[in-house]
Amino acid sequence: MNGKSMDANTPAADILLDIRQLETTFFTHVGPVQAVRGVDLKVERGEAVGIVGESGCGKSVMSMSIIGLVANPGKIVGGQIFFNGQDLAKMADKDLRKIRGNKIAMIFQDPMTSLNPVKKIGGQIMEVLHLHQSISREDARKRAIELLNLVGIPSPESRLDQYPFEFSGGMRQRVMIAMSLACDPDLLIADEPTTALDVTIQAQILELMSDLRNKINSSIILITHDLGVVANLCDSIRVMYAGKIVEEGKTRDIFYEPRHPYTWGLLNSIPKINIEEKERLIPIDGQPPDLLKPPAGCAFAERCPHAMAICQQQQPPLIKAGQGHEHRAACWLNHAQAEAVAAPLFAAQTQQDKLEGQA
Amino acid sequence: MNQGDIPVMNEQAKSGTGNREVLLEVQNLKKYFHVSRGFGRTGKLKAVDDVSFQIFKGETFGLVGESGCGKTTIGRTIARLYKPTAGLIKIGGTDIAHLNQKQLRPFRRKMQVIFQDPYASLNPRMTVGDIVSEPLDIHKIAVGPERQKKIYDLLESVGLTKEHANRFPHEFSGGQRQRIGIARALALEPELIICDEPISALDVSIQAQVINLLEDLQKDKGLTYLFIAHDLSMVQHISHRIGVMYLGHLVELAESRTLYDEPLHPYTQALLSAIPVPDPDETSRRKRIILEGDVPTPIDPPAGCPFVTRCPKASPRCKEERPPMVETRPGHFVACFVVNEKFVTE
Repeated sequence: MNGKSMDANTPAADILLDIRQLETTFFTHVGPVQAVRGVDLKVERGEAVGIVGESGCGKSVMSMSIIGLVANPGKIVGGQIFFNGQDLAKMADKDLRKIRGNKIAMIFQDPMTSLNPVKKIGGQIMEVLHLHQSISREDARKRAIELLNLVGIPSPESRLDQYPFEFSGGMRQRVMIAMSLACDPDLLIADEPTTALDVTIQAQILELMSDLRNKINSSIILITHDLGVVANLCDSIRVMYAGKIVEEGKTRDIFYEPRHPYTWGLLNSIPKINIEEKERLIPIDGQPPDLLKPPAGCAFAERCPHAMAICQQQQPPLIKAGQGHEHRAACWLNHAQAEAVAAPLFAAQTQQDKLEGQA
Repeated sequence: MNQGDIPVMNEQAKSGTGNREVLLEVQNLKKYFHVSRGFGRTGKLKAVDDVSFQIFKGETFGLVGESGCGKTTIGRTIARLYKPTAGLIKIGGTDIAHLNQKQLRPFRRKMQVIFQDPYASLNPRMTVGDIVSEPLDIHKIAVGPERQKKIYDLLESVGLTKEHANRFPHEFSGGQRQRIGIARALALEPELIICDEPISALDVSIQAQVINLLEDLQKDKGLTYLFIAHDLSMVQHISHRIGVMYLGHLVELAESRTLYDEPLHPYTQALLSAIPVPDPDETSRRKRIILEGDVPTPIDPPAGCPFVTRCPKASPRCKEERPPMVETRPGHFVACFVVNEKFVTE
């Protein structure tokens, strides 16, 4: 937690990234696939935001939209992306290129394929610096050594002259992180940064990232399918489903007081390792909807055990939910007229109860 | 299975495990691969090096470890998709490690494999019905209407419908494809199913569906699973006993509850502490053991304990000698000098 004031009248200057009603569609030969269907996202300076969702929920497409790298046949068809007051969605590619890698940097999932295999690590880091700053060769090299040091790569002077194949997966991801930090970005987007790594290496990278949070001032958007990864690192969380944000709030709100049945489902699908008795997992039945023809009502209604008549007909807006100040859920259950539904037990809640029981 | 075999196998059952019937016994299994290291040099990649364990009838035995630790190679060697370099693989008392393909046939009916990637493990040009019934055709078990009925039964047992039989794999989602893979594995009514990372390619909510299906099938059909995965929390959920692997070696083996409550091997301790817990308070409270460095290459493993290069507790002895698997408590085996010395002094 960064201990920022969470006043309702927080001045707009604090907001680094402000996405409004972003819509990104892929025009495929079978028809338009609406991957992102109206997402609002605000990221404050220095804030770490976790975006959680399953494959196909639009979380990666949304982040690619921010830096203007949506692959053909995808297009941003609506909405604005204000970054430092400029609308990235309308910006020419020439201008975007000055921001990409400079003010907004990205860490990708697979460190094996995102580094150039025929260029030395040092050259690849220095390339970023030369591209965005007027800096001498010596200074760029010094900065590259500094960066490798920062991300915990031993003997950086000699490592600079090695090729990516000489690094292990975890080390390559460290190099990627070093590259992304080269120009002191305002915003760092990490798209599943630890998914391709082993558990013990993942722990190393997560440790590094939370360590870096104290050393750099960048805001972070962390995209992942693993609720365990965001629990440690993020100030706030957005849960995405079928191209929309279905729940948003502070990390504690999402884990201890979730108010959307999809979030309940996600939390319940994870086995609880600290529970004495083995319980049966509670999966979410069915599958996510086809975004070629998204449903008229709530996209989760078909799989939702609590679905009501209105859910099939009308899309729920993000409604204020729970006690948390910025906690909102796109579910009609949170509407004043809906009957109260008791949330099923989930991992974190059960442990909370356990603690209270001990106290 | 021959009823007469059972008393013999009960005698083999090790202490602390009671009078349970051993379905699969692996003894000193080794699987080395010859690899080229360039410039005409060759090396031996010791994917599995001297591993022994037993699987009891009706249980789920979990095998965990990071990529490259040899867990998949063990599964594939047991299924005899690889020929072992040395060691015994006893299924129902018979050693199948050195049988030829023809001799293996009857044993193939006893064990089947569910593979990790539901996209790559189904032939895209075959209908689901043909995929599921291929084992029946190979073993000449059912033809005509009987075969048809069997296909429908199998599809229904994994939560699909008979309408699905005439469709092709590309029409299905990942979770449904894995169901097709499970139906195929069930076709021969095997005793042992080797599940090689069956849920790793699936989304969280779909993983739980498949895990529940596997648990239901085990209950209904009395199946035995060898469950190979790197997701420790899922393995703990589904397994009765768990073996932890590192660099081709089994380093710890215990009941799943015991392993999570009191891990003894320094590697197991680090592995468990590295699981990201979906609980912010718990995460900040927990002390995480962050291991330094990476797993060494299995082409040139350390001489002593495989874990010695990263072990926070390593002693000089660990560099020279390989620690044997020792039963520290009934049913809890650990291969670590430091841990074993502690237990001896106690």
